[in-house]
Amino acid sequence: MLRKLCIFLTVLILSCFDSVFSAEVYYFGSANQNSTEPGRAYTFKERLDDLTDFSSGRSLSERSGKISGSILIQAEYDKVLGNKSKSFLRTGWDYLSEINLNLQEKLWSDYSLEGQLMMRKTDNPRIEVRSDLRVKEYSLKISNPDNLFIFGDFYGELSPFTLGSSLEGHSGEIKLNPTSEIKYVLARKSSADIAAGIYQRNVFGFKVDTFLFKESEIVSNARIGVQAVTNQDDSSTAGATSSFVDLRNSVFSVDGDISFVRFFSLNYEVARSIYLADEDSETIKDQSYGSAAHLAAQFQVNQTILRHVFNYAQPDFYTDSGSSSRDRIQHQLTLDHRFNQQLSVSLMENYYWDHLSKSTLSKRTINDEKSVSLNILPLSQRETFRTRVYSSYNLRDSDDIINSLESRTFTAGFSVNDKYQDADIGFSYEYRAFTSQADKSLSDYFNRIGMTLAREYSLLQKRLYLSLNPALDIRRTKNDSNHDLNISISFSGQYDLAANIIIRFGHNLIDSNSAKADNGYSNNRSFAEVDWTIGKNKNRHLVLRGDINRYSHEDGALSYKERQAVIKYILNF
Amino acid sequence: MRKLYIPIIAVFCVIIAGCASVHSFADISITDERNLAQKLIEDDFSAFSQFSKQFFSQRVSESFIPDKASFLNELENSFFTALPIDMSFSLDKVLVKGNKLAATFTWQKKVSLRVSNDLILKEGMGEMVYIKENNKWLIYQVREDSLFTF
Repeated sequence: MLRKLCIFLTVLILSCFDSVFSAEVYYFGSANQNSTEPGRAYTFKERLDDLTDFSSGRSLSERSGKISGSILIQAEYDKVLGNKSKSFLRTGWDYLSEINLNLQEKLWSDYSLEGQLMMRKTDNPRIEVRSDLRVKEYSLKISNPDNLFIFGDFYGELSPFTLGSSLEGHSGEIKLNPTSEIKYVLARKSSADIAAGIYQRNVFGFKVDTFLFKESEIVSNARIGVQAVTNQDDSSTAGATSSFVDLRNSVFSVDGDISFVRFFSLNYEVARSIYLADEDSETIKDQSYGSAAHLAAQFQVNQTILRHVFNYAQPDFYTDSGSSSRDRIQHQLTLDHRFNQQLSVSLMENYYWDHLSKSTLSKRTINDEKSVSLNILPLSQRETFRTRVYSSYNLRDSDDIINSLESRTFTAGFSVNDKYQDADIGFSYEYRAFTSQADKSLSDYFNRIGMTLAREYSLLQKRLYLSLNPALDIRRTKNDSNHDLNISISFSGQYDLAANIIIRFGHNLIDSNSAKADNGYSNNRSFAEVDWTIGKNKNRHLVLRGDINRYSHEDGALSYKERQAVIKYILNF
Repeated sequence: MRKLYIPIIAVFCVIIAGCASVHSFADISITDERNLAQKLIEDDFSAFSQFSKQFFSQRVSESFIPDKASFLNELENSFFTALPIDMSFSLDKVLVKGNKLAATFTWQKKVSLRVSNDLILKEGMGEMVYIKENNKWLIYQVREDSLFTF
């Protein structure tokens, strides 16, 4: 694949010289070269000229295709002093180069092609373990308004229980007719990693969607779908040993949506899974079967919305490429009501428990969460002055004799925001009390205060933007009458020195004064950056950045300092 | 053959730089996608660093899978167990499909335990999926090693 890329780049470079091609040789379809209507046929020379045209500024609608992207070249110098075990950086130089390429090309009829490629080379171990040239992302899409075919990297999605994950392989979506669509996936979720003891994991999936009542005035968005996904480890990986886990997991589900005008809508999915953790295991012989269901119903009348969500997942339900809780039954009720322009309220009750039939848990945990929030516009003539008041109360219990997980969490707070003379101002306060009845030493109580100040100024007729966010957390525990005090201040700014020079700067302070002796610390991080846009077309950036991070602990041996200097060149084309 | 890649790409870069001397293009999709993902993840961690369940909830979609309330509870427990101090990450893949954007990345973070003030270093590979609703990108799914949980 890399060899083909090399050949392509070579041809591309040569094609920058117009004299190489002196005659038209190939064309697609009937050659009406002056037409600009959709589906217009382009000759091979026209396509090559359009692809290599980086200077005319024509949009995609005025050409057959184009190549765009960016190139990044970066050098970074890091220095670490003091307790180096608490730093991810290492003293020395690190280099990084990246190239992003995007290819867009019109094909026959109304089909189009889009290709993307991202490559990286770096010796920074925080970014890549290997220092060779790495292809990080590649994909090729062929599509029209009804159909889509993807090769390479893509986000595969069929339904929440079955598939929602980044994959590498092939996927297709085909509209069979106005009321039916199919999707399929033939891909891998992860490649083999001998060092980590992992097989390549293949994913195969299929979905059929049928849309109903399309002409109805009462029913809208009526859809029913059937899908199935299998995750299968490829045990033929060379170099694998008996310690490798050979997973097999299949999930089948039926899902759908329906809405009745504006008043009622329903979304649901019911699924069944088959799961074998390790096909080669001597101890785990039997497949496990599990079921799951999700139901979300919403009623809306005038300014009131009532929503009920039901989730059910058996302990043996497992989905490797989808998303689901396990061993849970949940009911959630939400009520939103707008009284008028100035006042709206939101109420929520969330009740869920685990330890269903065949659960491996030793006891059941029951959670009961209640919350209320009010959004208030105190002055109707001042829409920027907004207040929110909220409170929540969470109860957790377990069904063992001593109720060993019993706890209560109470939270209450408010926030005020306004705009005054081009400045954004905000203030917030929150009280949180976590009380563990089973182990009182785990209880703690927080008082939290926060502020927001942001404003735009004019300095020497240039734009200056400043933002300041101070915050204070006071923590108290049952065991200690003293308090832990955490102060944080976040400050950032941007100054537009010139049309093509921007200066960014900032400072972040976290200061922690612990109730325990010799346990306090402060962390100061400062940065300054100059972003210089080069050239008339503003497609090149030279960025110089410096960072200093100082972690100071009362125990001096734990302190460290980090310094970073970065120079970065970015070219967009 | 592999050693030729870098000089060939370098020559390509020079030629592109020379050709792109008059106009810039409005739609640079793969770069825009990566810049967007970078900003979303930075902003989400910044909001998490001063976590309030009420306000962070506005950054999470109502259709978050598997369950929004559990996700927020997990973040709340994590925040009140260990205070986030610092974070850095580098994007690997950014995949856009319809109204969803999936970003996979490697991350490193430092947190300070509330009970002991011990500084803990953590790293991992995470995936975050965003969904575009009412012109805002909201968190839809968090997979692999979560950037937020302790």
